Amino acid sequence: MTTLIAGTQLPGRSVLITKDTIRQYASASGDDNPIHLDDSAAREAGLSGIIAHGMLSMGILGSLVSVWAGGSRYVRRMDCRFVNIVRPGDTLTFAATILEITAENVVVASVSVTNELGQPVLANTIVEFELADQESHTRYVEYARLLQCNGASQVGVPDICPGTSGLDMG
Amino acid sequence: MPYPSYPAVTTAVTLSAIEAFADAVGAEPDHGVPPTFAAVYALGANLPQMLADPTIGIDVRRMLHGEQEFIWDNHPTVGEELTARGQVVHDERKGSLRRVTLETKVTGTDGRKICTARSMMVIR
Repeated sequence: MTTLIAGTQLPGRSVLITKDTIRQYASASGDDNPIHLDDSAAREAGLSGIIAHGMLSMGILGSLVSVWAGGSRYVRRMDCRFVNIVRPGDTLTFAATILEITAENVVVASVSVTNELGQPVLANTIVEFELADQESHTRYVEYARLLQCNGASQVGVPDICPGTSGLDMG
Repeated sequence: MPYPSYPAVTTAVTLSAIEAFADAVGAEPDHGVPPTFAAVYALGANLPQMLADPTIGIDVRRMLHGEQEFIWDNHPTVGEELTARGQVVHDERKGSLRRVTLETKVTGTDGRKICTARSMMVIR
């Protein structure tokens, strides 16, 4: 099963980051460092203008991992390096590939997060989430099979792929 | 000299804070406490202590968030009171860059384990 699943892409997401997005995150997280809110303060810090919080990119990723996992409570680990600044007007694209499903039924996935120029924003990004039950495991196996049969393009979240168990792999 | 550790900080997980955070990161409302709400109950609790510590002496204007790791044993629930204990676990200078890692361990009701957070800060 693990052999079938390794290399499967998870449904991705693209998100436009605006000044409003950044302001909203500053307020919700309590991180109101002026480099995220005030262009002149950001310039004094040697930047060209305000930048997004690294934790905003990681936070959006967290929302996506919760979708893959079927709820935040199943998320076990997230790890990343912040390698590029995100500015208002940037669009972040999140794409993920399953590396393995462990014996403990934990999905380990590698995630790429890039801006509209294709530059990495987060690097060395690994997420881990638990599959709640055998049914979730079966859903993932069926999802992987469906992707393989469709030429490995994304088709949506795993739970919108019912009735794929009868697919002929021949 | 051992690296410094900081007094415990408690944070109450309120519904309004969770909803505002979920909205800010595009989380589904029915998916529970967003995982990186740990930015509030772990980093938000202990990072200010490290930044205010004269023995560490970080100029926040020259600081960037370099790496972040969260490991969860459990996720908090709305209404739970969390306790975060932070300590510096690594501090090295290479060339013109200094890297400092803060580790935070968060526990919840009756001491149940919630999260370990490791935040690596780069100081230019």
